[in-house]
Amino acid sequence: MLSHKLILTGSYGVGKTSLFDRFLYNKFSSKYLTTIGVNVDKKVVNIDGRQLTMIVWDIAGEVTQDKIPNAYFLGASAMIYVFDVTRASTYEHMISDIDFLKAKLPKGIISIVGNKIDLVDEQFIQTELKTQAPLPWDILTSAKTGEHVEELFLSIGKKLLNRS
Amino acid sequence: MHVRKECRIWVDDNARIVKTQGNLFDKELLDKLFHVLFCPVILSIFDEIKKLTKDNPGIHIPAVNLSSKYINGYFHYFFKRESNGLILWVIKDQTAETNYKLIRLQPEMEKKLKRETERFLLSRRNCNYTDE
Ligand SMILES: Nc1nc2c(ncn2[C@@H]2O[C@H](COP(=O)(O)OP(=O)(O)OP(=O)(O)O)[C@@H](O)[C@H]2O)c(=O)[nH]1
Ligand SMILES: [Mg+2]
Repeated sequence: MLSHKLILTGSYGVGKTSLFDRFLYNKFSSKYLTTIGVNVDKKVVNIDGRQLTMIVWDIAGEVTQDKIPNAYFLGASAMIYVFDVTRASTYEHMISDIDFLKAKLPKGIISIVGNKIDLVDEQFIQTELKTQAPLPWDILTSAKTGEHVEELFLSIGKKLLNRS
Repeated sequence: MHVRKECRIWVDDNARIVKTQGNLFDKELLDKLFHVLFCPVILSIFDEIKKLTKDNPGIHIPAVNLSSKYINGYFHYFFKRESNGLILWVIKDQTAETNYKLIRLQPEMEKKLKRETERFLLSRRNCNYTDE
């Protein structure tokens, strides 16, 4: 069976572990336990009748992504760049971060994700967030309610399957 | 006195452990620990961690000035990380089941996150009020 490694990146506290927990175990905790090193687990997903093992790496958040140890990128096929829609400090480095990540994984899939949408309203998203975010996002999620979390991972899975 | 056994670890392309030899702990534990090995501090204490048994009172590694205490079945490690203040590591001692857990608690980051989020939510509320 095909397997791919996927890394969750982004600043601290944006919800990487929460997205990981939601996708892998369908659970959420409002307690913040910052990650050191990496959490790794895998999930087999079914996409259009094909199976794919997604090995998900949830790494410790860094304010800028160039602090991520090089070894983490080994063998990765996709990256999810998570920012917190309520904290501008988590998306202000987006352009340089994405450039850096693209250089690390030239052939990889990179998905930009705004998390914690349960804390904001549609008007904020359509006005302020849209003008403030340096790059357009691929999807907005809430690890808390589960909104769009499955879609996020499955859409990456689909791209990975279509490529191979 | 404990005898030092030779320790070997085989990893695949995804840095997952496929086979181990001569370790105190089982593959499952090492599998979990291995992913934090790239973190230099952990790398430097890994050999010490492997030597731990449930009778061990804790370890001190001078190189990273890491101190540890064994409290109620947990190994507690304290060390400083660049600009982020104190981090507390707790390694749960369940040697009998050879199932350890690594947890990082970082009270200062927690406060920082709370402050930033609350500031945002408050500003949103204010702006709704003025809209009305
Ligand atoms: N309201 C809300 N809170 C969230 C959401 N996702 C995460 N959180 C909270 O935000 C805090 C940080 O979440 P984590 O998942 O630990 O963040 P992280 O990106 O893994 O942080 P580091 O490991 O430090 O890099 C926790 O208190 C979570 O409960 C969300 O979608 N909505
Ligand atoms: Mg985390």
